[in-house]
Amino acid sequence: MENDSGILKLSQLSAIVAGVFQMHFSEERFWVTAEIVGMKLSRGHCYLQLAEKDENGATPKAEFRGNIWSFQYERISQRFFRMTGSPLREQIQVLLCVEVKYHERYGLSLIVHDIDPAFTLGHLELEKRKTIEKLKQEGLYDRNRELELPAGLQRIALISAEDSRGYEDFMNRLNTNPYGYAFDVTLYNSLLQGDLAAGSIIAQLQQIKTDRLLKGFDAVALVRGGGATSGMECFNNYLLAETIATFSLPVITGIGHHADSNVCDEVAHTKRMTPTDVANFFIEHQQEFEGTILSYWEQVRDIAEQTVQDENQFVKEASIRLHQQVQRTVSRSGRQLDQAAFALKHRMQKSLLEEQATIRRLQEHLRKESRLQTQLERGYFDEQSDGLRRQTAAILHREEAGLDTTASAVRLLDPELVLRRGYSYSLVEGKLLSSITDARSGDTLTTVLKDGTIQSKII
Amino acid sequence: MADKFSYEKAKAELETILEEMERGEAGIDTLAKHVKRAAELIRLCREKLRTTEGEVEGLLRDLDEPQE
Repeated sequence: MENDSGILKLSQLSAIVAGVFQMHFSEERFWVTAEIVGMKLSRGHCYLQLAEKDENGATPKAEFRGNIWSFQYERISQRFFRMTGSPLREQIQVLLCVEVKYHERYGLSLIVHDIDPAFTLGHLELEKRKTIEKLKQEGLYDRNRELELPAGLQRIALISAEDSRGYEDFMNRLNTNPYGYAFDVTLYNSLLQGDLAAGSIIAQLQQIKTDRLLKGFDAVALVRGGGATSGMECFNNYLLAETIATFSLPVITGIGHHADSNVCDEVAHTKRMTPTDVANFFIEHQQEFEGTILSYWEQVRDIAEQTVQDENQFVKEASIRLHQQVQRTVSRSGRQLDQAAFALKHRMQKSLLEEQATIRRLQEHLRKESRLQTQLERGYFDEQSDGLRRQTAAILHREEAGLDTTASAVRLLDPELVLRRGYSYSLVEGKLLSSITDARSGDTLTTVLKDGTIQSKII
Repeated sequence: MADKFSYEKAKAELETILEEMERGEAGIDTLAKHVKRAAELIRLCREKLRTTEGEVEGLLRDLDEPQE
């Protein structure tokens, strides 16, 4: 095949190499570990960039191209996804079953016949566990969880990607909550997958720390959602996890990974599955707070009502007691009055009887006295009247005697007798004329004689 | 500057009021005062829960200004 000058055509050289490979690697398969550093799909085939990095994870110690032919790729990738919860992707360690193949045209490559998902899973898990262990040893693992949530969670610093579905879901849920709660959300735009994501998130967390006083944030929400679940390794990044764990505000995550949680989820204050769940968390928190204060209000109202009721009851009872007391007092006074009246009546009756008795006694006495007196008086009177009678009789007798004498004398003086004896007397104007001085000339003189009267005129 | 409204303070004050009322220290005389204050705090809280910070600051400024 060589020409004279000893110069080969490229195809001639590659045929030689192919022969050597055929001789040494004839269809032999190897299990090798490598990191997928590049991945490309084309016409159903999968082209991988495989590398083994040094301790620092920087310079590759070895690199290979790896091809998964389309007839294998479907099976391998589905099984990988099913077992690890994550698709075949860059930046993961894999254990591959390969055949070293030299192709005259495409050169050296590894034909991938199989990938063992358990290795990747174990590796990821191991990495994660190492990170968690470290955080625990440093006493940081529960640090954020131990922060107390403020009573109301209203001012939220949100780390997300503005154009992502996660952001949209989160904002949508918050803004359409049925309770009408209002939230102040400040977005801190960040990469959420890939190598640069961890650094981007850390930078935004630092920015939030700077803005915290000014904006008065209550909490941080870290949400991503929708799209591929690849490139999640950043959430197992130690530096990011440490930043979250030691952050001065509660961090609520909704990274949206349906498989095992990542380290960020583990150190966060609260882990939710999706951005909508995180929004619900805030809404629920507000509801809880509102419920608490409303229950306080109910208690305040109950106590107030009870107190008013008690007071009313007290006043009512007091009024009843007062009423009863008044009634008792009135009836007691009434009784006392009755008793007093009775006693008074009794005493009056007694007095009356006594008085009556006294009066009767006095009457009796008086009667006796007066009878005695009357008797005495009557005796005396009788005596007196007897004396009087006797005296009267004596006087009468004496007077009678005197009268008899007088009568005799008087009889002697009787003018008739005198007249009979021849004497007369004269009257002037009915009056006895006893002196000549009484007779005036012109007067009619009536002279009475024993046998009649003579009228004469004085000359 | 007047104290900024805070849920914590409102909640703490409500708790104090409730404790006092539960202890029965609040007689009928302070009852109305307590109930009024509690109602005010709850109204403030519920109002604030439904208002964004910017709006709240505006409201609080309005409340503060006439007194200052």
